[in-house]
Amino acid sequence: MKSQYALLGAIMTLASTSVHGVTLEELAARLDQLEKKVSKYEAKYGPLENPDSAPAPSSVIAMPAPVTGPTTGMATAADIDAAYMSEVNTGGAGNWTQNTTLGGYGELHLNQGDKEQIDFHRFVLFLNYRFTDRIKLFTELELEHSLAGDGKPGEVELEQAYIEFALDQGWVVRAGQYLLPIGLLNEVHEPETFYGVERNSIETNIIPTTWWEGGAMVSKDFQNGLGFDFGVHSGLSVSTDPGSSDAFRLRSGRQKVAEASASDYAASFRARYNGIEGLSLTAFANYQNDISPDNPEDNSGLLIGGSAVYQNGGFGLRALIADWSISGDSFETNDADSQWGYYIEPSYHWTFGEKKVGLFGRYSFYDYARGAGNSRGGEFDEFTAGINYWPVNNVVLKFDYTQIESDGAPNNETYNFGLGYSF
Amino acid sequence: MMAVLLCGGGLWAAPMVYQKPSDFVKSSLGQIPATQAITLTGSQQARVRAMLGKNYKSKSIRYWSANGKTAYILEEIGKTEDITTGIVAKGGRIDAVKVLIYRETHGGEVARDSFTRQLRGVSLKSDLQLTKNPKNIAGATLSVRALTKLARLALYLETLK
Repeated sequence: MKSQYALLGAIMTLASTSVHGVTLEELAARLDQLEKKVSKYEAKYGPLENPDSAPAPSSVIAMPAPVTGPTTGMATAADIDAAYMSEVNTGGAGNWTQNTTLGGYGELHLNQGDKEQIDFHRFVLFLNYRFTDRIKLFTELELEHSLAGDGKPGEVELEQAYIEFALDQGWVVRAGQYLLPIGLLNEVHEPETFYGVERNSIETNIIPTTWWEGGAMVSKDFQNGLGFDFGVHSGLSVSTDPGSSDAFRLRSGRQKVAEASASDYAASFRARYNGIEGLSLTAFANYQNDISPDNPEDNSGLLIGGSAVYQNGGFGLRALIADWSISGDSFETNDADSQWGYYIEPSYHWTFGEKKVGLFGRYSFYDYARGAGNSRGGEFDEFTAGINYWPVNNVVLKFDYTQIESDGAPNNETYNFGLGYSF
Repeated sequence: MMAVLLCGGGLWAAPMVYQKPSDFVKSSLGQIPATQAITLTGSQQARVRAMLGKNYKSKSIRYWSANGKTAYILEEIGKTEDITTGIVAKGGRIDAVKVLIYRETHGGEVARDSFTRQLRGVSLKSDLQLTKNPKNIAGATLSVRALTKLARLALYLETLK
């Protein structure tokens, strides 16, 4: 502190020796400048001491010692606030590395039994950029099934690319290509966040996860634990061609915002409640103005559903229901106008330091995409039981046994092994 | 909505400041005592790394002590942004946790009292884990993890000061 005062004294002395021939206005301007410099100095290194309590030798000019850590000693409220609140980014020539975040996840699956396959199912990279504290870019690029190209099993997909604008009072608007706020897995599907090697069948066949569309969405959270999201966006294009194996199949109706038909619109709404410790509830809806724009019929569609997640100590419970009602003769005559399903999944996990082990069971029922020529649709009961092992939070090893039953078909049994990570 | 977007400037929200850091120190300790700092040694850094999965953002960490309590202001990234968190420790236990500045747009549920209250009275086991972990909040998992890590860090720093 003494040296800081000495510095100020010296500057004052220098200033006083050069006032000859200087107008009062210029002098005032210089004093203003000096004041600003001192306040900046104080903000960075702490307040200059009172000259009465610490007289400083005026003949010594000492450089402040290099600062290797945080300032200690007496600090004003402003100093403390400045240390934590000063990193406000207003855009422009920001530091690229500070404003860019990189992340990703991946999962390798091995299926044995009635299906024998090994597949690096998903390899995903996130790249996010902060233009300012209020305007941010989020992107997600995915390679599915390891190998993409003509005749190859996989795809390279842009899953998300949107700009998020944070407005006053907690309003958030996103615009671009985004994941719809529908179901438990659609927005959050890093492999270590759920049980089971493969994603559950409801959020595959009824809710076509991963489901993204182009448009805009507004969100708001309230202090009492309530929140909502509402978006208007592009829609599905489900085939009603009875000769197609994809007929009436919602999952195959995703256009993926790839030169997609925009003659019709769709909208999504979700209400969330997180007000009770350990419990999260959602209710969601998706409306499709015309779910099959390629046919002359009017096929409006409405999906409604809800989810519940409960956790208390090691015990966890996840449950979800989703139900489509689709209008139009082609859907009705093929018994595909109502496609719905639900699952319930109790689990229990134990923690050992950084490691965690969890057991789960899941019962699913689903009824989807029935129609002439569609061998994949129908009504199914599915039983899954398995184990997750997390050596650290972001890495998971999984095993499960899955049995799928449907009328008139032999049971389908698989043993599934998985490896997943996210960062 | 576009009109709101295009108005620019004054309408943009700043990161959510629940409490100014200085107000946190003052309200927790009844005053703003002299700032002190712990400078981590190599082996201490290694323990911090084990807790956070990486080094803490600075080698020296500030704290304020008065009336038998110590206030820390610690920061950890939720998804992409720092969550500035005030933690008061007393006698090896967490006395209070308060989210001061939240910069993410989702996951802000961790700032609610019903969440932070769960950490009160929690202490550190010999394996540097908390005696009781808070319940997860679906949709705010990363923020819950960040706050859990900071509670562990604060209790570890208590043993060093």
